Amino acid sequence: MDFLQKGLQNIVEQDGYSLSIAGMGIVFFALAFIALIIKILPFFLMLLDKIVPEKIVEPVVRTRPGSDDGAIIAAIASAIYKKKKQVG
Amino acid sequence: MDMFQSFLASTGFSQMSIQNVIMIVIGITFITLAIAKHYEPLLLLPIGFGIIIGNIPFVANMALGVYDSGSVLSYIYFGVSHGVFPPLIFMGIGAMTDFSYMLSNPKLILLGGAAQIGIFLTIVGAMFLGFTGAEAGAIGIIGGADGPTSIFLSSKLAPHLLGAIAIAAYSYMALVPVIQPPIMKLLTTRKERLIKMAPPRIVSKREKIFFPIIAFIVCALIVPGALTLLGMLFFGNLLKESFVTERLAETARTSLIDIVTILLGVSVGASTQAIRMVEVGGVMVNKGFLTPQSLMIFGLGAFSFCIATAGGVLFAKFMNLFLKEKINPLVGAAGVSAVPDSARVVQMVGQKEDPNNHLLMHAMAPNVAGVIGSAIAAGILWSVLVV
Repeated sequence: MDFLQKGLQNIVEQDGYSLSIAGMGIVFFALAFIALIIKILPFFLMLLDKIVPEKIVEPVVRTRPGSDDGAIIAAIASAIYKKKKQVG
Repeated sequence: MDMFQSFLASTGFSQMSIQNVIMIVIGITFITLAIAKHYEPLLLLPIGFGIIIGNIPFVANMALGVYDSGSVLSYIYFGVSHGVFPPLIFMGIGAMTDFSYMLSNPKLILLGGAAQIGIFLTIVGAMFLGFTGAEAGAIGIIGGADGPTSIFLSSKLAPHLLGAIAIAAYSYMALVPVIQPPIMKLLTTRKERLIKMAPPRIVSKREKIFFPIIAFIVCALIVPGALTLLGMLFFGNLLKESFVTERLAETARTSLIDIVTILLGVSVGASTQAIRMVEVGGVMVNKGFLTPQSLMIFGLGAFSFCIATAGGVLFAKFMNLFLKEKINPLVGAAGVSAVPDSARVVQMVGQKEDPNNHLLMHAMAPNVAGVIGSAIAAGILWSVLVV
């Protein structure tokens, strides 16, 4: 019984109830606000599309210079050519 | 002979305690679960091995453990104790997350909010068990089912509980396929589980680009405490969706997140020393892993996971009271972050009732909303409870 009372008292002392209710409320409010923005975003974008039409963009995959297959193949071919020339 | 005797005294065998043995067994169990059962192997394997590393006893004056300043492990652990790793992981998650399911059906975001009730009820539970406000906040975030968020918040609010909280969070994340299905079945009827949802609409490229920018500004303004985590999450997503930084997005979602996960997993595991005597006010206190506090944290963690799952499912049922197009309430269970495991569980449970019912894409919406929700909750708790 003493443990139960102590526990409940600790919740009150640490503002546990208000923290939980307010915290849950803020999380819910923030997510509901995001949901609302997502809901109206397509309408905003429709207006934007009329001013600046959306271009179809393909993903740009830029490989690092070091991983350029063409350059590697060219370098290997050049090395083989030189070696063959040296050997005769 | 003396030298040999002092060497023998310095070996791990002579200093090994029963508590160390228990922890090593736990570490081996984690590794076994990862390899044999495939339960979150990317996390459980490094953590499991880390637990073994952290529980090999050594001579006190040798700087080897994560808590010994100057040791190699302490430098790696810096990323955990100072909350560096979690935002980097969030960037990787952002770079691999497709928000289009959430964008196509925004009402499902609310389920991600409802599941956060697990966090806040657990805080009350932790306070009931005698934890301080800051400790309770750090423990409660386990209910967010998000390992990086749990580590981030506990490093700020209760660093002394970090090991136990991180292990509890990751263990329960790995056990999502075991914990969630009974609760989902208990709270839903067969008729509800058979509900088919309309396929999501196609989301435009512009929506996907605008979303991370707007959502970040809104969230950061409401809860600045979530700025680091959500900033990196949405930044990573923008790298992915912009189509012009594919190389950076690729690095963030592959190499970077892998490196950070390895370092985080091993160092968190190594932080679970069974016994760690620390002087507090002239008295030596055990701040190690094997304490009654850790057991309570594991109990509260399980409680928070169950409540979070139930919260999501019940809120979906509540929403159905007002909706013309009904939501399959199973989808609510994905509101606990644990991306993408809880969404997969929803798919699995749904398909057991009807193999043609594909709920995965619908479940991804509350799933990613749950990630945002738990980061917001962490931001709130950090702002309010930081001493």
